[in-house]
Amino acid sequence: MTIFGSGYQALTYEPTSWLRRVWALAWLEMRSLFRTRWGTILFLVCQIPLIRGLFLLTIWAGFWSLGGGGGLGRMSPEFSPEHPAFYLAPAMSESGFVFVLLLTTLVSARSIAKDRAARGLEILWTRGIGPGGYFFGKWLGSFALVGIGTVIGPLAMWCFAQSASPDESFAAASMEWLPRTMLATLFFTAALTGLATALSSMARSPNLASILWVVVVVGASAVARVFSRIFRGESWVRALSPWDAAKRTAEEIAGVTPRIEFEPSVAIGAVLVYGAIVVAFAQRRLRTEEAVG
Amino acid sequence: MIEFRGVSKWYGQVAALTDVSVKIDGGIVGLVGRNGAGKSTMMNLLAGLLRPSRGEVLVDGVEPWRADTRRRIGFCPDVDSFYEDLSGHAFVAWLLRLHGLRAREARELAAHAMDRVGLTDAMHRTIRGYSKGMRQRVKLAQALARDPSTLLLDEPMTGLDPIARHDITALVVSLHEAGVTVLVSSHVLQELEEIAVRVLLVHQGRLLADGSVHELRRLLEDRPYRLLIHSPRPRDVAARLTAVAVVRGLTLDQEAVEVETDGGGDLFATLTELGAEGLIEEVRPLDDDLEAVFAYLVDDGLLSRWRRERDREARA
Amino acid sequence: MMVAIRTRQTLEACRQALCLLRSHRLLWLILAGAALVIGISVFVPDKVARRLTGDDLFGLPAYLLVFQFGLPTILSYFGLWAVHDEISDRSVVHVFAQPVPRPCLLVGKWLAVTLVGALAGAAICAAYWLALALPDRPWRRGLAPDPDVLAAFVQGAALAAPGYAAVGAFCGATFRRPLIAAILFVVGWEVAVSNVPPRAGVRDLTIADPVRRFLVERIGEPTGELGELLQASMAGQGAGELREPFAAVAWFTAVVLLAATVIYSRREYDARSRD
Repeated sequence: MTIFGSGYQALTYEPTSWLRRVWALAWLEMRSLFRTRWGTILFLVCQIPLIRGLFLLTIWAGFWSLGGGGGLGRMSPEFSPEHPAFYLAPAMSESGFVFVLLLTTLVSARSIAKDRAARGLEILWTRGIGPGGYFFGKWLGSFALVGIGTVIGPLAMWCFAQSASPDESFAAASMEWLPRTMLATLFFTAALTGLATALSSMARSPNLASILWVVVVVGASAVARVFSRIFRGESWVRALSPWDAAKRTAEEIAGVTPRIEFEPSVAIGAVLVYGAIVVAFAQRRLRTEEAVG
Repeated sequence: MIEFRGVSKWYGQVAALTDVSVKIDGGIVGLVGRNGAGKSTMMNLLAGLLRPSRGEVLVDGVEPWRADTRRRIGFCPDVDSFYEDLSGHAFVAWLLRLHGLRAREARELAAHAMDRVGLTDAMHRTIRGYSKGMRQRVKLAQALARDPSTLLLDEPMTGLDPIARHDITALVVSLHEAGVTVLVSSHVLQELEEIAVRVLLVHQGRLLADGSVHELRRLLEDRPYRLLIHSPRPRDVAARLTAVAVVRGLTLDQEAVEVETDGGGDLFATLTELGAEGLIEEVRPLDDDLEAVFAYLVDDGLLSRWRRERDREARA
Repeated sequence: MMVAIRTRQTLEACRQALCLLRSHRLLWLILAGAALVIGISVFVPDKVARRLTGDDLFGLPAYLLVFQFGLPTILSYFGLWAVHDEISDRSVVHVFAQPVPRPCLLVGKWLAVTLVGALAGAAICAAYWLALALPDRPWRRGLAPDPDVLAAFVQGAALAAPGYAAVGAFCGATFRRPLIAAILFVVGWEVAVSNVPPRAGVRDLTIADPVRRFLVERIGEPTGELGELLQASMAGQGAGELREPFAAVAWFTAVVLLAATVIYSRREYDARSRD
């Protein structure tokens, strides 16, 4: 008896597009943090820089009478909604560092490693998503999640500032720098989540991937800090840190005064080199024989 | 000796076991239930991995949560995780050394245990390269290694081929003969039927039934059951049986008649007559195996009736 | 008799954790990274060497890389890895079913991570110091690194290692995502508390601050860039009221380890997957 004799019927279906399949994966990844109560709490904790920004915005808009908003800008450009640094702060300020690191560790750095640990890669790859699409989907999901606090949040803050400003002058002034600022924070978020996702593909377990990411970010920053103290005047050593290199590149895109002064071309070169290295490793680790083995 | 005294276990809001009381004095005892019935929870309670939320679990009169009690227990868990980079022998020796044994003694005992489960040839290979069956055997080896007085086997036959199943079955029987109390869980009932002297049926965290396969069968006397009657003239047999009051239904085949009946003397008298007339070659009960008993017992209607009766008895 | 058995079980748990650590790639990766950094530092140009003293050249990288990054991050990770990895993949079931009290297991693992951390930290410092003390280097002219500074750093590594290993073990025993908790401690809590005035007293609830005070005391008022780095944010009211560094770390480690042991002993890890 053939299989058709037993009543088997082939399922008729409409194949979905590659993008829809990848988006399904990205959507799944984006929601991964919200499956547990603690995940949601941690996500909210990671939005502290954004919440701080919103608070400053309310002061600037005059909701609170704490001496008015004018004084904020004099304290630091990061505190003034009239300055691009304000919109970059959730991602790139000193205080934002801890929260972005935490969120990328929670989401991007664990994304592929957890599937590998659960031996889920081979199943996913039978579902019409190859290694490239899989990587892209994972990155897109974590990028979208981290981007809520670093891109969408600041954009929403600008909209709020715009609606709170009494005349058109704020809009006219800010339109000169807003696109570049948004592009900068978009680039910064994309670069960091990309690096973390690529590192995630190399590790056997989510914990190992997370610690590798911390070593790359914090360890390389420490090394860069040490060398910049030893080689005073040789600013290029800060590019040893992927975080600093991405930040310097983003600052160049936004056109703001850099916190750490070194050549933007060195920073861009370093980001490209780091990207190329991790993508090459990721490509190798996501080959079928590695994923299944 | 194993004893559960009114044991309940909750995982948060989920009740995994509810008021289980049972005493096992020895022999090979099967623990049967569907996935999620509470078998592994009972095993883990006995192995000291969990503590009861209510009631008492005792092994040889002592709570297994206390470390020293576990010296007498060999536990073969249902997990498939190991220290993959160790060899099978090293894994067993490591666990033995945690008993406080010296290295040499642990190595010797580990080698002996690996030999008992038939893994001598592969014992120095890393576990990462072991097949599913070999991994099951390593788990069994570590459980046996210290000659425990109580052996807990949680789904030990999973993933084993028929020859390996036979070997393990023979090993369990030999351990029973050596005086070891064996509690073995499975959801494949046939496995237990071959070896278990006594069977505990667990369903939805409750102990549904306790006894030998035949005792369980007696629980079901008022249950309709089926007989397969092989005959050279099945139509004639069917015609005669339609007149018998206790016969509920008949299914006719070219060589046999399947009878569904409530049982009773009339049927057996008629069958004796038919046999004397040469119309019956063989009579085979279709429902006397554990699978049928289990399927019938966990039927919701019977389960609630059984609970009501038990509660009534308890109140009395 | 019982004490002897428990000691043997603890040491066995320690030995087993050491065996597992030995095959951990990250350990070797970190040692290779340290060798690379030492190599680069040894061949710094003469102009740098003339500006910095031997103590600065030794102390800056050793403090920033070993004490501010390596020991906190890597040791916390190894601490939680030793405890949590086998819980998450459930291989711990085999171990928990043996007649060994869980405190012995946890203390054994903590001991292993402490040993590895203290030895690795001390070895990296010593190797770097020896590399700088090579003859014919520019800073040999009266400004060679001081052996006392090396001794202080080696002792500092031995002081910091038990604390961070205990934090890792605590996170591993307590949290489902222990690494996040450990990162919050190292990158969040320790950094935040180092900016709190000493009189608040919370600095004793860290490891980094007592270790830094220990280094300052042991070196004896360091000068130059190393002195600047070690004594930053040390001034302020109440600095004298803090506990002795050794006592502070010992208290902190004891409390964290005790909490970890209690949790590890009482928790039903196998019930986690079902709740």
